[in-house]
Amino acid sequence: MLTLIGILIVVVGFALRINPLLVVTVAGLATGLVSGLGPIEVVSAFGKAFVESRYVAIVWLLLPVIGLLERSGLKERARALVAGIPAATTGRVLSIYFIVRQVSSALGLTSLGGHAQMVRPLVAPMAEGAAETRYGALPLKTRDRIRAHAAATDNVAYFFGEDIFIAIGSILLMKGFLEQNGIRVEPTQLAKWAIPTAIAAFIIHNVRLVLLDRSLSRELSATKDAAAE
Amino acid sequence: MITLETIYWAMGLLAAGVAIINFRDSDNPRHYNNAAFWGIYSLTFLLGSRIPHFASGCLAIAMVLVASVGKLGQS
Repeated sequence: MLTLIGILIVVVGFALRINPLLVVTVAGLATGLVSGLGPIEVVSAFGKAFVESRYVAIVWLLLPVIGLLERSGLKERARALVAGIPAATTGRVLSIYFIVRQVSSALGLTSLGGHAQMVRPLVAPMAEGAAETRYGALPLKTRDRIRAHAAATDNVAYFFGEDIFIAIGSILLMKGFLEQNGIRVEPTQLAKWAIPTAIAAFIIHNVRLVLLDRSLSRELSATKDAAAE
Repeated sequence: MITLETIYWAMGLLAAGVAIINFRDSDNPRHYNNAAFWGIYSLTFLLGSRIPHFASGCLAIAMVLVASVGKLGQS
C-alpha cells in the first residue's frame, strides 16, 4: 500500500504546480525507497532506466539541420509563399496540411510530417504568415495560439490517419491485445474501420479550424481598427 | 560501423556544443545553469554506457536539480 505513495506525490506536486521534473523524480525515488530498496539501489535503477531510454532524444539530432535551414531563410520563404496567395487564411492552410498529413499517414508515410521536421520549420510559419498578411503584426499570444493549432493539426491528422495503414505499430498492438483477450480480428478489418473515425476526425477538426479563423478575424480586426484610430 | 552508440556520441557532442555556447553567453544571467544542464546531459550520452548505473543515476538527479531548483532558459 505504501508503495503507492509515488502517485500521491505526483498528484499533490502537480496540484501545487511544483516543477514537474522535480515532482516525478522525487516520486520515483520515494517509491523505490518505501519498497525496500537501498538508496544506492534506487539511484542505480534510476540511472539504468535513464541510460536505456536515451534514444528518445535522437530526434534532437535533427535540430542543427533545421537551424541551418532557418538561418538561410526557410521560414521567411514559407511565409512569403503564403503571403502571395490572397485566399489563404490560417485555418485553410492548416486544413490543407491536415489532408496531406492524414492521407500520407494512411499510406504509411508517417515520418513525412511531425512537429520537429514539418510543423516548426514550415507549417507554423505558413499559418502565421497567412494571418500576418491579413491582419499585420500579431501579438505574441495570438502567435503562440496559431503555433499550438499547427501542432494540434499535425497530431490529430497523424493519429486518425495512421490506423488506416495495416503495417503500423498501433494496429499490431490492438490486434495483439484483443487476441490475448480472446477476440480475433484481422488487421485489414481494423484498418477498414479506422476510415469512419478518420472522416469524423477530419470533419470535427475542420470545424475547429473554421472557428479559429473566425475568432482570429474577430480579435485581430478589432485591434487593427483600434491601432488605425 | 554505425551503431546506436555512434548516435549517442553525436548526441553527446551536440549537447556539449550547446553547453559551451551557453557557458560563453554572459548576457544571459542563467548561462551557468544552462551550461551545467547541457554539460551533464552530454556526459550521460558520452559516458552512459561505460560508467556504473549508480553514476548515471547521480548525473540524472543532478540534471533535475539544475533544472528545477536552479532555473533554465533566459531570465
